[in-house]
Amino acid sequence: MAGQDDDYYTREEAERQLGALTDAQWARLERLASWRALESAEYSWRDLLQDALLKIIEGHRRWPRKMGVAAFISEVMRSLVSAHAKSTERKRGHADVRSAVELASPEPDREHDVVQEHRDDSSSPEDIARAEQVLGQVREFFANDEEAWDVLEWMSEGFARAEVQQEFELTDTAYDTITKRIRRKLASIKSALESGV
Amino acid sequence: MNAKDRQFQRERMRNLIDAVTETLLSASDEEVLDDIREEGHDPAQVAQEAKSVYLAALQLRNRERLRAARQNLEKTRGKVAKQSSRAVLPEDPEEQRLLLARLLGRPDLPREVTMAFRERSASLSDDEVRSILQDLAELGLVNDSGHE
Repeated sequence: MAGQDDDYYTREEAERQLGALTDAQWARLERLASWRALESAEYSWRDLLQDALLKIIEGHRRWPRKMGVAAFISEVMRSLVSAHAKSTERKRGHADVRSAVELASPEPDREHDVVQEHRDDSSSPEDIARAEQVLGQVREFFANDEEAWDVLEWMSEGFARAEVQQEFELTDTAYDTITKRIRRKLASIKSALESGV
Repeated sequence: MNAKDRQFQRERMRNLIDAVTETLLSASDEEVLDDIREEGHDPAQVAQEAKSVYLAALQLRNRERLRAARQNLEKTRGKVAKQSSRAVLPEDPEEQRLLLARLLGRPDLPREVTMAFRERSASLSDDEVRSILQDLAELGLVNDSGHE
């Protein structure tokens, strides 16, 4: 649902914010884009980040003032990948009626002022194959790290940080240490995928 | 593996990426930069690559604006009597640039036109400046002696 205009950056303000990002912020955006692009067999991280930035500077995605730049762009990229999967599915003629109607709306992005969740069921065979490949490698990688695997399982089920910490009785530091370990192990899988191994 | 299982895999994949994204968003700058170094990359170069993606997005957007502005001019041109044949533009490219700068300050020009040209004015070639002046002359914004 659209909020008050004051709740969002104007297009010019958004552009100014992007123009003032630090190197560390750009590096974080590259990380986020390259992770999110793993979800799609057809989207490169560059294309994904560029599409997200274009949506913002063209005013098709309104940026809530309360949202940080990395979180906002991350959500835009997430919904772009979803929309791309839907579009691919539709082109293949397998989209359901609901998806087709949504995609046919003239300005789908404007309909959703706050970035909308897209937990849809549409996926291309390439995306499914990619998911199977990654998950298979993840299982192998964590075979000898039960603690990280358990946390990862819970995270993958969508449990929040506090819930995971409570379940495994983890302090903030312990949780951060494990998630860093998880991220770095997964990074090696990502690198292998990006280099086509 | 049936369709439901495949969909489940896909959902898990998305949850996995959501989870990693979550940890990336809560990590400090230094941790993110360490991640990049761990992967064998140079953080400065990674940042530069991402920034270049933004610059490319800006270029695309500006090109689109310019195209739209030109289309706008074309439309207007059709409605206004042609006067370009009588307007004499300055020969000197520098004088042409000065004239264009003065014209872009006119309040009667559509805002999208002035914005699109102003943003690119420094990078316009002499030919482009002349071409824009000719467009404006056709709109009657440059008088017979080549002034605004």
